[in-house]
Amino acid sequence: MNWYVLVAALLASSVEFVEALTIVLAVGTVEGWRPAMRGTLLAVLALAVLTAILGVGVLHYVPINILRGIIGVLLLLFGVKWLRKALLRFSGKKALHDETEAYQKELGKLQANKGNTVAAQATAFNGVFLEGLEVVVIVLTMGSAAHAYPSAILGSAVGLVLVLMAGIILRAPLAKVPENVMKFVVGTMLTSFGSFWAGESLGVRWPGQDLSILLLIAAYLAASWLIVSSIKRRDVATA
Amino acid sequence: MKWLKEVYDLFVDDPKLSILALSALTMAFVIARAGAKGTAGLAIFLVVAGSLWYSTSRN
Repeated sequence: MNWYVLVAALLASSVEFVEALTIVLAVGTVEGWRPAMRGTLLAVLALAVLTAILGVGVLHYVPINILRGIIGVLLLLFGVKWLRKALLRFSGKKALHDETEAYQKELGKLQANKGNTVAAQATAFNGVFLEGLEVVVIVLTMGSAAHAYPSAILGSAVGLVLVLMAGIILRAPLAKVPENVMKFVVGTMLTSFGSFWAGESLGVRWPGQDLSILLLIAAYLAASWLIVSSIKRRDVATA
Repeated sequence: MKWLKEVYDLFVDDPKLSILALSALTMAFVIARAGAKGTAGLAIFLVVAGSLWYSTSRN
């Protein structure tokens, strides 16, 4: 079991599932559960087909060193995108993501279009497909680069079960999930994995091999703390 | 072409940051090729962290 991959996949996919659940709940509340579930199932089916095609193609036809290079680059880009957003949120430059607010916004849009079940189904499909696409990217990239598909799939599956259970019990958007902190942690982890694998395929010799991933995570966390404090200090000085 | 934009948005938020992250890898490749394989990793970290600082502080 690769614990780095499992934890990263669990956290990242939970964040995405929470966002998808908010959209499905909004559709279900306004137009009923049938179009919400139909859109969700179609999206899950489309994602499964995409994963199977990409997964088989990637594993069978691309040599591991090239694969790690490509995946490292994608993970690095994906990771810095998440980390940048998290840094802006924690330094007060961007509003923190609020699931209740997102739910109300979605509800408003759907109520303006009430009675159109096709549009509602499409909303559920788009929400689940786009959020799920990020989960697919994480599972495929981390699973194949670290040769740890079971860990990546297990991490995502646990995330899905936890979010689904909470959603069924609460029947409300999961506003209490510390989504912003989770995004920050995942952004740091993805940036670290990306740096490690892309670097390795480019000929970088990492001290302590896989242990360097932990060093990179600690270093990126420290750098993030410095960035957030420097932005906050500057804002106080200019206020 | 809408799907292409969706895929692009999946990985890129700030194009300058993405270009800087790619530059970090190019730099590491050149350094590793020059023989300093241990230092190349440090270059990746420093350039990526610096790029994040640049991207967030000019926002």
